Amino acid sequence: MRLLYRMAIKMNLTVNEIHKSFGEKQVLKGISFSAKSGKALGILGRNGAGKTTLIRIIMQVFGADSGTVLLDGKPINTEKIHIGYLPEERGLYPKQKIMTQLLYFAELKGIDKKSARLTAEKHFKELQIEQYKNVRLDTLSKGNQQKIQLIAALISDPDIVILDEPFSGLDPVNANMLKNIVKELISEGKMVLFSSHQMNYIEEFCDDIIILNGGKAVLSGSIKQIKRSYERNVFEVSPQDSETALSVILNASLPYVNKAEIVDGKLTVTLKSEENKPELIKFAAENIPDVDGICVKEPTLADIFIHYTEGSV
Amino acid sequence: MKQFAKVFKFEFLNIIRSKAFIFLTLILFIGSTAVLFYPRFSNSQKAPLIGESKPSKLAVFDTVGELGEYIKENMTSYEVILCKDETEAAALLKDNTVDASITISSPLSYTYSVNDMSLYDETAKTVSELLQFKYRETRLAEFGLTESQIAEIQSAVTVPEIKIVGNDQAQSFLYTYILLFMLYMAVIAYGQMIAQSVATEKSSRAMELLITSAKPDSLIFGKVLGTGFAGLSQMLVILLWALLCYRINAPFWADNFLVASIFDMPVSLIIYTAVFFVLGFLIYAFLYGAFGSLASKMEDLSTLTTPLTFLMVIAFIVPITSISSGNVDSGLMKVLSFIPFCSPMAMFARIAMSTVNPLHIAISIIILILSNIGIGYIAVLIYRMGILMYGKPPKITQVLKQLKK
Repeated sequence: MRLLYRMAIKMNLTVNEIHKSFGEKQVLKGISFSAKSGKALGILGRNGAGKTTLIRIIMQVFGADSGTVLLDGKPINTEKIHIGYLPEERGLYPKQKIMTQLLYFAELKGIDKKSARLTAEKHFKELQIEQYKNVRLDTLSKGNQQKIQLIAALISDPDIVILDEPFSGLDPVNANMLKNIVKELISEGKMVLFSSHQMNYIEEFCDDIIILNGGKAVLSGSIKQIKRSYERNVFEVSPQDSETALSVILNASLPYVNKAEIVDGKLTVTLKSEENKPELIKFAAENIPDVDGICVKEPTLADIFIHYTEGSV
Repeated sequence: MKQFAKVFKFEFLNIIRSKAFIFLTLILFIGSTAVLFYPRFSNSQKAPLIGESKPSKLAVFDTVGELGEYIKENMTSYEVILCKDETEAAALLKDNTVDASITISSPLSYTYSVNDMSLYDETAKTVSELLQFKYRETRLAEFGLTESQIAEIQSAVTVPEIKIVGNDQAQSFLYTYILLFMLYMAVIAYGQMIAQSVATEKSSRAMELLITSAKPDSLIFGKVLGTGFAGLSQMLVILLWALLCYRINAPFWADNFLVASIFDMPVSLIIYTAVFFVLGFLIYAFLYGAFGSLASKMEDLSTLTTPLTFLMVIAFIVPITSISSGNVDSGLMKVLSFIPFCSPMAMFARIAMSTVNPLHIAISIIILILSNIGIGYIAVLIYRMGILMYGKPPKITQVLKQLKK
């Protein structure tokens, strides 16, 4: 019942022109973006780009110098809305029993003990660590401590979940378990803000991204559209034998080809313009033996990220 | 308020469940029980637990004649061995057969040799009185007085009547000392505990979750007051237990006026103790909490809290030396009884051991309350800033500069 009700709430988070300085240092210089329930937003940026500061402003740890954080048009109020947070710097009380401290954190957020315990039990089962409920945190392996940290983030059954580098330090099995949980969160209609340097995870979960660099949002929007916006003039040709195919193309010295090379074992051809695509296809079909396919090579998220953040912090 | 209550409860339970706390409480329980039950099971003649210790075996070598016998007859609480010559007396003293030796060279002069001179050793005084008595008796007889006339003169004493209008310092000294010491220990031990607890939350990064779950004001007030309450309840329980033990054994303590004085403390003083104890503890505890928040690693902690500990030591040493020297109302003490960090000890010592104008007491308490509010406010500001700061701990000047903003 509760779950259905929760799913029904659709929220819009709008961050407007956030500025923040610490002393002389300007950390955020006008950040704007928006996020929706049931979607994951990737927040990308190099170390020191201002991600943590931005997250703290959203969570009202401190205020912004100027700008607003609105939830459905009204200033966000963390006393009314629950935000689950998995901080990049992991940490709980090492010497405390696990359930005790989880319930403490839940109570601080104003959740009653009973429902917090229920939520925790559910996650313990899901993450297969039920046997550790009542032991001290520092007796657990690093991976299991990570899981406890995740439960701490989810114990308030939050409407907004902020995950900062959730996959760092997890083995593939645990990473897979976490992946399923993130997918579940999104399908339950929660708003997920996701920060990671592992671009494959961002591409897997997020429709939209924002890239921070030097306190500014250098890029934001849907990943698909961002990729589309790049010129589609680079093609991957897949023949039987890349070396032979490369020499065929080079020997032909085609006027519309800017560059042909083998990148990571794949024959990559850069054309003068997107419009030369049919000519390339025709040439390949006629001259290169055994072509399996020609497709546009889209920039990876990592390429985009490096393109926008290289050289400066 | 709800958050504060949660933090308070969490911190309080953390302390009283900790091994160190349980251990300390147990030690104090056993210690106070053992001390207060001691006279019931001991022969207090042999070695009193608290109070005087003095030589009990005495070697006497008399060159005059009948004086050695006279001393042996009259010093009944001593075991007196008469020696034939000085070397025998020296030998007895050397191999510890006796605690002290006396060589009488003339009716009014003698040498008193003792291995270790006790603080309470009045043997020499007794011997002097006996020799003087004997000398006067002999001389008066030579002047032809009768035995009864001599006895009358010898037994003449003054009869003073002492009226104490204010406090009897001899009586209040010990409990004042003990209470000052308890406050000192409480601030040092529990203050350090608070600083350490904040620094641990920071270094273990539990702070990341705490600050996103609760208001910093709730966090620091909950911690300081929760820890303080744990310490206070520990002391209260121990004191009540000690009082109970004392009441059970009261008849055995009757002749020990020092110990009896502790438990006959006036009620007004108990109230003052509570007031100064709580206010004095809190003003330091707030700062310990705030300074703890400036540490990123546990190693930074001692550097950060040393100035506070130093302040506390000064606030403790001055009153302690003043009450020990009997000059509790010195100019310095009067000044210190109005300075917030020192007044809990200085003013308290003066109230306990002398007579202080009630208006001055009221002013001192009001200053202390206002300072507590001010320091509490500053502590929250420092804490708010400190918990988000990682890296090298800032200098005090930098902190002040930040606070101004």
